[in-house]
Amino acid sequence: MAMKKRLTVRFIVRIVVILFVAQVLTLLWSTFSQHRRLEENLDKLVDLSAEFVESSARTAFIKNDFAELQDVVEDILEDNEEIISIEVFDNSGLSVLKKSKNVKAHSLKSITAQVKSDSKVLGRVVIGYTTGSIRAVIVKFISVNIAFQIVILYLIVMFIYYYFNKEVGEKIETISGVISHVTTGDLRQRVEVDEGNEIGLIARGLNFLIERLFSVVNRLKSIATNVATAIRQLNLTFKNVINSVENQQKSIEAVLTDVKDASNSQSKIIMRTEQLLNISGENLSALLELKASSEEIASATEELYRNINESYSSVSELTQSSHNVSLLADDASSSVHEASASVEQISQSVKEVERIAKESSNLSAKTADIVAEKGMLSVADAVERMEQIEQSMKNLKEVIERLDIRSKDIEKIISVIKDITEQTGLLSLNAQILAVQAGEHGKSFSVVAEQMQELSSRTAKSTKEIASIVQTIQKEIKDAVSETKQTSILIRDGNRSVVKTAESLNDIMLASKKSAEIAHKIEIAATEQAKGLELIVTAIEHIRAMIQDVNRATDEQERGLNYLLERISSIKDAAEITKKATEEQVESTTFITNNIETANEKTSEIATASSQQQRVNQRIVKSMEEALKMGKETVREVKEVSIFISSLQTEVELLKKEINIFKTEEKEE
Amino acid sequence: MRFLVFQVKEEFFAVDVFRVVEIINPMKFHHVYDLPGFIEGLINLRGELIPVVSMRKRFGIEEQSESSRIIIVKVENEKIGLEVDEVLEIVTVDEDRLSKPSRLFRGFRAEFIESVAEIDTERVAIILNLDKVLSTEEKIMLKDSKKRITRDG
Repeated sequence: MAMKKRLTVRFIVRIVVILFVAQVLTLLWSTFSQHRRLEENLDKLVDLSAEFVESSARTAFIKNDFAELQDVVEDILEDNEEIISIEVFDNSGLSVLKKSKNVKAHSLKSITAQVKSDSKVLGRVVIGYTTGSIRAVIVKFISVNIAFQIVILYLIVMFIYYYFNKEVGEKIETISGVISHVTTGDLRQRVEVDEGNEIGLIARGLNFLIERLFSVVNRLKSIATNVATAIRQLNLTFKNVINSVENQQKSIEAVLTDVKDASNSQSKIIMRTEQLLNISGENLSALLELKASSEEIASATEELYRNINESYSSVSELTQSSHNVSLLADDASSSVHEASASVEQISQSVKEVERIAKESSNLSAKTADIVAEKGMLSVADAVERMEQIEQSMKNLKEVIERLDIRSKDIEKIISVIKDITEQTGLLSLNAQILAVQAGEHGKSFSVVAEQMQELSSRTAKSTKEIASIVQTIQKEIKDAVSETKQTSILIRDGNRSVVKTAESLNDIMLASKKSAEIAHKIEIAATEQAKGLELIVTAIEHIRAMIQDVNRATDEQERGLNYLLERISSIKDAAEITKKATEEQVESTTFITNNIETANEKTSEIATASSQQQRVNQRIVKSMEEALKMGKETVREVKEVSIFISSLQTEVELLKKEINIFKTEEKEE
Repeated sequence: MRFLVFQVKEEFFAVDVFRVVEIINPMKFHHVYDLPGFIEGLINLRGELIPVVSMRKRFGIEEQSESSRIIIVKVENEKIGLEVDEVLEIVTVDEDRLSKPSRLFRGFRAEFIESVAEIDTERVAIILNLDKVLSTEEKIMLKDSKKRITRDG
């Protein structure tokens, strides 16, 4: 409005000033020329009057009659109001005639004309006149002219104002109104001027520009919205990635815990196995002791047997000699003494056998107990541990399979990210095209678009890195799976060894029991033997008593000797049983020793397998820790990208706000 | 001068950015009966039917590309889609980097080529003369087809 006013007023004022200056100049010029013309007229009139007065004066001087001159002068004075006085002088300078009007007049002037007749000066005429009437005429002329010109100027101003306003001013007002609306951001305005002239051209140009700006801003809006959506989607996807990776890490941690549990169980197994080995060693030494005892028993029994045989032969001899008893009473006494000593010796040997057999029986029972209690307990523990390990391995396998599924999920997510990245790249290219086409308006947007492209390429790079990390993780998982399989095989082997150990231990137990039974039998036999021997000792005591009464009762002696022979026979039988049992026991002990050695071997195998398994577990732990580290790196990288996206989001939101200053939607009324 | 650079097989091409309307992902082609052979099909972009020219076919490359983009450009107030392999970037090329190509540049018909631009030390792009990508005859055929399709609904 102000601009239009200024324009119109300035335009009109300039035209009026030009017209005014021109009119003033014209007025000055015409006044000047009028003035001159009037003066000339006056001069001519005065000259004419002077000429007339002079000619009349000449006649008057010649005729010396001044009456006519007087009439003429009066006529002149009457006819011309400008001429105020006429005076006629003669050649001596005396005033002949003087006539004047009684009028107050300004600007008095006079001219003098000489009255000549044939070059002889007769006198002179002086005419006084005023220029006051000219001034009056000029003043009137100027005032009338100025009034007229003011009227004309006013009319011209009104005319120009009216037509300028109609042709230009109103349209410019419309256009400037639209422009001021557009500069406040309202792009819905259009100039409604449809003319073929320059203003119409400007209006159409303006409409075209607003239309263009409108469409550009609209597209910028939609792109900004799209970008915001894409970024939100991207953010969401990244959050998914972070969640997945965190889940994966949790799974890996669970695997780690499982593997560590398995490792602990393994350590326990190794400990148990070492205990078992120690116990086996104890067993073995006990058995060796048993074997030594058995061998001692065997040798003692041998000696016993020999002694018994000796006794038997002695008794036989005695029996044979009994006929000569009477003859050899002294010899018999010493023989009996000898026999008594032998029997005593036998009794001692038998008691030794009994003691050793008891000891052997105890040792066997102890062995059986050890095997039954500690060995079987250890084996059961080992079996239980093995089962735990197997369960752990199953869990591990499940977790690893889940991990594999997660990795595949991540692959899917990565492909989604790849799509989004491509879409973002496309958007940013479109945004850059628009920014270039929008020129100055697009500069701020072009910065965002370039950042978007940078983001898109960075995301593509990160995605590739993540994909390679995921591939590495998958490889690690495959390795872990194969390691787990290997571990499973080792565990199965271990289980088999444990079962075999249990079988061996059972065999040992049975053998030990059998050995204990045999030892018990030996004990019983030895007790019987001892009883027999006691009877023999008693019998020998009898014999001794009888020998002392040899002479008294030779028949009795013979009877006694036969009885003795019988007894010794039964002792001999018992000794034979003892010998056989002892031999059997030695055999059993050897069998037990062999079994224990086999068990020991198996136990060692278990220990080796467990150590191997533990090494595998450690490898798994290492792989898992690496996977964990990689997962953390992935999360870190993803978070970095996420931060970048967030900053971009803020920028896009700012841009959106900026764009929203432009009103483009019709509904927003 | 700013150009949008794209790739067809192994060649780089460029068009004036101010001629570009937008870049879109490939859309479903409507194959309409009796279309001229050089038109791959019509796409419906927000209610507007736009013919798409396969740049591969235009340059006589028979094999199909794995990925593609469609650049919408304005040719004589009509929108036309150019199907290309990949859209790369927007570059600013100084006037002194532009040169006129020889009559037969790398086997392409000279009338397609506006000029040849060095976009960087390694790459040279052929700047397409969009007005010559279709011959006058083809443009008339295209207009007729469009009219017929619009009339037939």
